[in-house]
Amino acid sequence: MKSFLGIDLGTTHSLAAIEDEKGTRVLVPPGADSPLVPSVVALLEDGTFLVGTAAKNLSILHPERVIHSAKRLIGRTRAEVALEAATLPYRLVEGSGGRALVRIPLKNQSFRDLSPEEISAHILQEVHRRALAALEAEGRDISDPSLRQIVLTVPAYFDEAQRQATKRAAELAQLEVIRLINEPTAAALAYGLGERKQANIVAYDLGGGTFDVSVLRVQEGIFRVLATHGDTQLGGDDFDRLILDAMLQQIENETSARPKEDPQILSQLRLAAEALKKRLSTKEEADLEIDVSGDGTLEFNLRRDQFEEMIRPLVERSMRELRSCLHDAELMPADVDEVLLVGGSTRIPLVTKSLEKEFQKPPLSGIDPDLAVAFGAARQGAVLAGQSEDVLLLDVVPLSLGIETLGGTFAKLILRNTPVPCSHTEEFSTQVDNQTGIDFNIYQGERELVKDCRKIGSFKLSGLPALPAGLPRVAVTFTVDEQGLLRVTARELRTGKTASVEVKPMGLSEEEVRRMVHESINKAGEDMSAREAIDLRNKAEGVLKGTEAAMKAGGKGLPPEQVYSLKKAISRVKKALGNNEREQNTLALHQALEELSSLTGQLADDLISSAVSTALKNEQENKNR
Amino acid sequence: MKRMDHFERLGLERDPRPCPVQLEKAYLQKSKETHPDRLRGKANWSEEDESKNLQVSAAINEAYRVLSKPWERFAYLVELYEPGILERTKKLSPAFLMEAMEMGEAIEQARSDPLLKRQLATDLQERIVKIRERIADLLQDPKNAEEVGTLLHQSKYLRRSLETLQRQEDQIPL
Repeated sequence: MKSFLGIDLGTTHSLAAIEDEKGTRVLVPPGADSPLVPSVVALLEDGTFLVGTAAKNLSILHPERVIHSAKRLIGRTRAEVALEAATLPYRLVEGSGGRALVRIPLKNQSFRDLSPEEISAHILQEVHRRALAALEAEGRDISDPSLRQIVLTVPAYFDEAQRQATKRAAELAQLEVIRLINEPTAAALAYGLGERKQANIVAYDLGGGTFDVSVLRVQEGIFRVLATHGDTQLGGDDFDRLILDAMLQQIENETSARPKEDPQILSQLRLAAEALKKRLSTKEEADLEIDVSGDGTLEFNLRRDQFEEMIRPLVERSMRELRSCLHDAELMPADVDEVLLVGGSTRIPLVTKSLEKEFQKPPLSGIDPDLAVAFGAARQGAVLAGQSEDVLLLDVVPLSLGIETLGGTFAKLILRNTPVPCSHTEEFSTQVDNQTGIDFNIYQGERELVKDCRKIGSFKLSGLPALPAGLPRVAVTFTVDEQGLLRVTARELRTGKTASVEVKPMGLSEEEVRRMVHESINKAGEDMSAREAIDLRNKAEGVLKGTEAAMKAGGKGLPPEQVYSLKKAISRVKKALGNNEREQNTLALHQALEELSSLTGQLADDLISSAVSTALKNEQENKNR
Repeated sequence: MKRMDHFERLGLERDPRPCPVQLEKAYLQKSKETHPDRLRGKANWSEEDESKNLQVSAAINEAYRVLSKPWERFAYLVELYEPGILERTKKLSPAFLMEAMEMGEAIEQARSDPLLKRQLATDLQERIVKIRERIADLLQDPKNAEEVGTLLHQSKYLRRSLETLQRQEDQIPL
């Protein structure tokens, strides 16, 4: 049975799901224990990439080469992410067109600049590889080309540039995006509310880095988005940062340690803050013991009410977006039948409490908020493959689209919350005699001046007939397709000629993507299996280094049986590696690595809090020497 | 080939007061038939078809948007009856202009007079409802296009006045 894979490319983790004759399910490869792949990529000194848990573990040892939260950078410029940059352990530089690139040091003082698209492509490749491994274990023929076709999710509030960049990431991973769908819409689909005769639904999606809220009306299988609002820079990462700030404050107040100056420690503290936050979702209080040699032990304690005070302004911000969204949908809170929780950050009690207060009813929580989006994408994948006729998604444009006109004003051509597909035609003319081309800048946003909106691309009309100024009549049509992607076409009305339009997106150009894919295919031509074996070897060595360092740093605090199984997994990896390349058992190595990754994934949180204290202690000892 | 109008796109009769439930039903039905997602899985799918289909699907959305909002629906329908009528009826009568000026003054006064403000708002709302029903009645017959045009322009002024008044309300606590 043909169906397309659904992939949720998240800020903190990503996963794949499928819907076929065996039902709708997330895909977990043999040997792994979780469908979630941390959206983390590490680039080793020798140019090898690590993805997922292996990369995340390395952040204790080499924070400067471990990239997390790339989703917050995608489709944006270096200037726009300046605020983020200050808190990231890796370096951000400016690429062509001002776009944000990550700079990772390599051997011999060299470095490599990675675009967020490339980083995301590595994550997508890993998620896809794991999905295929899972399907293969079920006995499915994975050479089926339709398995390279995917439904990919994006935040509803992603603009054109962010959507295009995400699509290019998939192209780089050599996956074909059959359809981009909005995350809250996907979640609504996952909840299977399609059978309802009529229901108004709010999908509140607070993830690791982005916040979306959509109001939908479901009528017998048709999921119609009435309005969507959001903030692509609001999520769990921001909560972690607030805890981190409090930790740093206390360390600096009470000891002579200056952890801010040390990226390694900063990165560990950040991970510890995340672990602390998670604990506060089920406990009233959480502690972290930090050993600071010379200054004794420092105890960082956080009560849930303190944490709630910290994050209240951010949660309030999301509630304001929610109210605007209801207003745009012309609904009152009492008109809402169900509230759906999506994204890991909706596990925070303050979030559910706030929603319950707003709607006077508890939100629905039947589906794991981490999995709902992927489920929905898989369901849409089955629909698009022709498996089902009774589901239809009707979405909207999240932000108004238009062009720059005289004096830097923004002429909106398509208003936000317009249902897609939609189309608008506007007539333009020339300003000087014999002018044969016109340049346009495309913007997206709600403000009146283009300087307050986001430039998402530009295009040039050329091949106009040489006529006196004002005589040519060019009809430019902006069409937003069902995925929220913009297409521009133009026609000269006097001659009936189609003018050529080339939209230049802000991120990687199509040309660049073609080149990069071409390069990777050429490389594949060299000798794929040998290359893979070498890559896997490098990867395994990186994983071993990361795990052993993490264990050394935090091993004391681990229960003996966990240390035992970790050591066993490590020795299996070593055995598969052999003494040299010739002795390597590549197939066994794949399996052993998968097992090790799943073990360290489980233990990461425990390891981290104890690793932090030890690392701080070492730091102090080094300074005191 | 004749271009379809919004009513035809949704398979409806020209009606100034379409039943909202039926309008929505027609819209959802047409969406099911024309949405690009419905054609993608089909065997004979082509890029050219998709592009054409996108325009058809966009037109369905636009038709529903226009027809589901009474004022936009009236303006659209009267232009269908008599193209250009809204441009030709733009000039407001001196009597209406006089009244409009008085209204403007009253709104200004209402700034500091909550009671007057409430009174004005109620009056305006009533007038707007009355004019809306009158227009809908007149639109049963294409011959009334000119009168509808004039009333639509007047209604626009009244609606704007009400908006101004309501925005004032946000500024001054009653």
